Amino acid sequence: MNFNEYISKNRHKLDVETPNEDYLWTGIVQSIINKKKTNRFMVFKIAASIVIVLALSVISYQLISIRNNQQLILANIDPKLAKQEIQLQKQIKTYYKVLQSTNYNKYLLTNSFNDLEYIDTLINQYSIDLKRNGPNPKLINSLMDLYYKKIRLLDRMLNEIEKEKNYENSETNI
Amino acid sequence: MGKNIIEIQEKLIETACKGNQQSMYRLYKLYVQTMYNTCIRMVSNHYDAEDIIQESFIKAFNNLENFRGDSSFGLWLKRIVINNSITFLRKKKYLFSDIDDMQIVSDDDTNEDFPNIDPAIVHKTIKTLPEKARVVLNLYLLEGYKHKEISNMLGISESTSKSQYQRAKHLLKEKLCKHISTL
Repeated sequence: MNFNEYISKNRHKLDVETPNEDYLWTGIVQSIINKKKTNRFMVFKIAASIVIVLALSVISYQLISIRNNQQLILANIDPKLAKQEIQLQKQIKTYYKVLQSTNYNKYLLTNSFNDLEYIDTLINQYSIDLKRNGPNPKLINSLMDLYYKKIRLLDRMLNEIEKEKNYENSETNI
Repeated sequence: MGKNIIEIQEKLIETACKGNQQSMYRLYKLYVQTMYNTCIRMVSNHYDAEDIIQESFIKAFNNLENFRGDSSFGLWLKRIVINNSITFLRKKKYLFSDIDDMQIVSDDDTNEDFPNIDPAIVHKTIKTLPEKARVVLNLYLLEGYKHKEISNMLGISESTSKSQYQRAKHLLKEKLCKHISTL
């Protein structure tokens, strides 16, 4: 029997060492369990991130679309009214700035944002009507009224935020 | 391997793939000793071998869905163990490519009679061989890889693999003969 024959004949007998099986298995099983946990946590983290990004996108979109609608409508109709419109729009702009600076609860303000959107749709519609049909005193009054409504609504939203903040503070103090 | 054993193993793999730890444990028990011995002959260190074996089983269990059954589970697992051992040796700055200048020694044992030594002694002696030669000897002689495959795995030329194998075999026989003469 030469060397190669010896090896092929005794190949399986060469595996003589016995590892510490329990010790090795403990390490293996721990790693598998940890990986499963990490995977679950990762899925949760990814899902949470997606929800946050979506929520932020919706809010930003709402704010941007509301802002974009604030164009001067009455400039070509009456300089006095146009001046008044500028002031009202400035006021609205300030309210939006304050609103953005607060860490508001978007669920609390969902209805208000819907109302704001509705008002903007009406403003747009009135603007189109004014361009199409020329100055109509009734329409101009309604438009101005919508601006005031928008300001009142924004004011109410800020109040809501303030109230919520105070409520949270008082709860923490308790 | 018997048909029944293959079927049992297939079931074990299937359930282990779904995360059944009991099945994983049974697969582990079936293969751990063989894998450990293969590994320790490659890296020649008990602690390193334990780390590599753990890492290999974890890798195998985490990638069971990639096991397509082209080969047996044991062969697939052994490939992981061998690859991990080679990666480990590479990390140790063990460069396989610096052995190209070896001279090929002719295979002169075709007619030589080899004594019937205790396989445990052969196993122990293999672990004492120089690292580069030992790895090639293990892959060629004990794991059945061809020199071309070894050259791809280690990033060396085929002739280097051959010369390292001859060198390892020569050294191993020499050491074993010395051992016999001391008895």
